[in-house]
Amino acid sequence: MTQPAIQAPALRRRRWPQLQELGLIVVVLLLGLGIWLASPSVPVKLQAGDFLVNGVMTHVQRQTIQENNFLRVANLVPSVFTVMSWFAVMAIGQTIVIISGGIDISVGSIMGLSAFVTALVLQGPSEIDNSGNVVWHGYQWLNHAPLFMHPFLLAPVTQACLGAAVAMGVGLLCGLFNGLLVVGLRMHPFIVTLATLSIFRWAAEKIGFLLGNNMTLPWGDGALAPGFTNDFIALEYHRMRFGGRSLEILQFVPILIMLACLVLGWIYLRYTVWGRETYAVGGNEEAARYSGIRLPWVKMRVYALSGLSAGIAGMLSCGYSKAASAGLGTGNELTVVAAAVVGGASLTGGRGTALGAFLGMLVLELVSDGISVLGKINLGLFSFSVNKQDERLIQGLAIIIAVAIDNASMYLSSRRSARPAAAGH
Amino acid sequence: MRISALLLAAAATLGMASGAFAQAKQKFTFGIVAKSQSNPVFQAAHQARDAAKELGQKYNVDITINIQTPPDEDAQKEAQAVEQLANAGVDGIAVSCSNANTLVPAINKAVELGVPVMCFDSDSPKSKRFAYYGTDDEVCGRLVAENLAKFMDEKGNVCILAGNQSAPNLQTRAKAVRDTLAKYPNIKIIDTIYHEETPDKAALAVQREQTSHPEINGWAMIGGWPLFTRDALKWQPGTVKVVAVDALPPELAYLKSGHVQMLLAQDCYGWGYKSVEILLNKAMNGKNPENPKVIDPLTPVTTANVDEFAKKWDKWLGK
Repeated sequence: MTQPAIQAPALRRRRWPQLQELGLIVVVLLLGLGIWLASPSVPVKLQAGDFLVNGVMTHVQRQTIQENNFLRVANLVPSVFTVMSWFAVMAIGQTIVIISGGIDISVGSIMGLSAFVTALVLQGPSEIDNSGNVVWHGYQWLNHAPLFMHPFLLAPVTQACLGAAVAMGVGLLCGLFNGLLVVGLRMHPFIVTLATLSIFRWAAEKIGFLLGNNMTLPWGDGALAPGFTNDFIALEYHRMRFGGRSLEILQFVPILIMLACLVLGWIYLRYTVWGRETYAVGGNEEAARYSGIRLPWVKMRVYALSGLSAGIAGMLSCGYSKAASAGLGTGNELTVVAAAVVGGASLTGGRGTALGAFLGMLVLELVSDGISVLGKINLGLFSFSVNKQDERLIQGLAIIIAVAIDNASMYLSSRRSARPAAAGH
Repeated sequence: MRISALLLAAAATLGMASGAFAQAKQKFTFGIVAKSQSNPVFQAAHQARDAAKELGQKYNVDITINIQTPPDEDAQKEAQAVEQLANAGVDGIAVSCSNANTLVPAINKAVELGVPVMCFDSDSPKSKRFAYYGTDDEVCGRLVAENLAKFMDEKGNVCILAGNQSAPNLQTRAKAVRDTLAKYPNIKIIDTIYHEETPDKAALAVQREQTSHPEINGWAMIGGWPLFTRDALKWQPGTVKVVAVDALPPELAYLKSGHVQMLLAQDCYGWGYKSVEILLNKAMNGKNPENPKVIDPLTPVTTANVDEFAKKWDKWLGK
C-alpha cells in the first residue's frame, strides 16, 4: 500500500501586518488618543496687522486662540517624529542584529564618534552678518591649504554629500570592526560591543583632546558647513497658518530619512536573500550552517548595517543640532534596544521587523512627549501631575506592557499554529 | 419688591463686573529648562514658582511656570524641551545650557517664533537669547583660586574638579582658576578632572585622584558636586584645603566639619526667581535688562557665617 504523498503546506502570502505589529499599532493609536483627550489647550497667538480675510485686505487685531497641545503639527513634527528619527534609524539597525541572534550596545558610541568626526570635517571659521545670520568661511582643514579651496568643494551639494559620506563611512567602519571581532574572536556580541562601546567613546574623546581639549564642535566662533546643516538636515519649512498670522517652523528632512531607512530595512528583511538569511541564522544557527548559509558573512553584514544605522543617526543629530560633542549618544543604546524589543524583536533571535522597531520607538517617544504636554491629568474625580521626573517610571511601565502584549500575541499565534496539527491526528 | 429686584440686579451686575475684571487679569506662562533634575543645585532654581506667586500678586497677573528640565544632563533633550515650550506658545523661556552650541538652533527657533529666551547659570552667547542671569564665571574661577591659594599659604599641589567638559560656564571657570593659580610660583596644578555631574560620580573622581596623587593638598572645585554625598572627602579635616562653588544645605556640613574652608554660594534661588522677573518684564513691558548680562553675586560662606546662611535655605527650597 503506497503512502499518500505528503503535501507541503501552501505558502500563504501575508497580506496584513502580523498580530505583533497590529498590537503595536493599536497601542500607538490608543496612546495617541489618550494623550490627545487628556492634553490641555495651548494659546496660539495670531499677529495683528493687515491680512487677507475672505479675499479682502483687512486690518485685524492681535488674537489668541486655543489648540490641543498634542494633536497639532507644531508638536508632532518637531517634538515626536523629528526627535525620534535618529533613534528609530538606530532601532532598525539594532533589530537586524537582534534578529540574527546578536546585540550591539556600542551604537550610542558609534553615533557620537560619527557625529563628532563629521563636525570636525565640516567646521570652519564664521562670522555673524548684519542680519544676524552665520556666514561660514570654508573648511577649517582647508584653511591651511588655500590652493585646494576649489569652488566645487565649497558648493552646498558637496558640503551635504561630504557630511553624509563621512558620518556613514565612520559608522560603517565601526560596524565592520564590531563584526570582525564577533566573527574573529568568537566572543559573545554583548562582550565585544561592550568593549567597543568604550573604545569608540575613547576615540571621540581622544580626538577632542588632540584638538586642544575641545569636546564640542564647532569650537570658538566656528560653524558647520551650511550646505549640510541649514540646506540639508536642518532645512526649515516656514508654515504660515491662519492667513499668515501664525508661523510654524518645521524640519522634515530627518523624518524623510527615517522613513527611507524604514522602507529599506523592511525590503531588506522581507524581500532579499540576505534578510531571510538573517532570520535563519537567528532562528537556528546550526540549521542555518547546515543549510549552507555562510554564518561569518551574515554576522559581518548585520554589524556593518547596525554601524551604518548609527552613522546615519550621528549625521541626523549633528546636522539638526549644528554641533556635536564627544559625549553625544551616551546611553542611547539602552533606548534603542528597548525600542527594538518593544517593537517585537526577540532577544533570542529569529524575530523582529523594521516596522516593529519604528513603532517601538514611536511608543517610547509618545510617552516622552505625553509627559511634556500633559502636565496634569484630570480624571474627573481626581487629578494628578506628571512631570519629567516620572518619565522613567512611565517608560519602564510602557516597555513592560508592550512586551506583555507581544508575548500574549506570540502565545496566541503558537496556539493557532498548534490547532491544525492537532486536528490532523 | 421693586427695591429687592433693584438690589438683585445691582448685585448681579457687580458680580458680572467682578467676573469680567477677574477675566481681564493677564496670564503668562514661562518655561524653565535647567541642566538636569539629578543636579541638586537646580532644585532651588525650580522654586521659580515662588516668583510666579509673589510677582503675580504684585502685578495682578497670573503666572504659570512650566518646568521641562530633563532627568539627566543631555543637551539634546534640553534643546527638545526648548522647542516644545516654544511650540506650546509660552511667553518666555529660561534655560541653563549644558552645551552652548547645541542649544543655539533651538533658542534661535524659539526667538523666531516670537518667544523670548534668556539663559541662567550657563550662557549661550552665540544664540539670540536676550539676557543672561548668572555668575561671572571668570570672577568665580578667580575667587576660587585666590581663596584656595590663601588657605594653602600660597604653596602646594592643586587639583581642579571641573564637571562637564562641554559646559561653557565650567570651561570659563576652569580656565580662570588655571590662569590665576599660574601667578603663584609655588603652587602646581596636578590635574583638571572632568566627570559626570552627579554627586556619586564626582565623589568617586575626587577619591580616585586623591588616592593616586597623595601629594595633592588643595582642591579647586568649580562646582560642589561631590559635597552632596556624605563622607566624600576622605582625609583628615584641614590636611587638604578645599574651596568649592555652591553652598546648598548638604554642602554646609563639610564647612562645619572643617573639610572645606570656603564655599562660594551662587544665587541658585535667584536663577529661578530673577529669571521669572526678567521674563515678566520682557513679556509685560517689552523691556530688556539694561545690561544683557545680569551678574548674580557670589556669597562667600565660611564657618563664621554658615549658620546664618543655612537659615535662608528653608525659604529657598520651599520648605
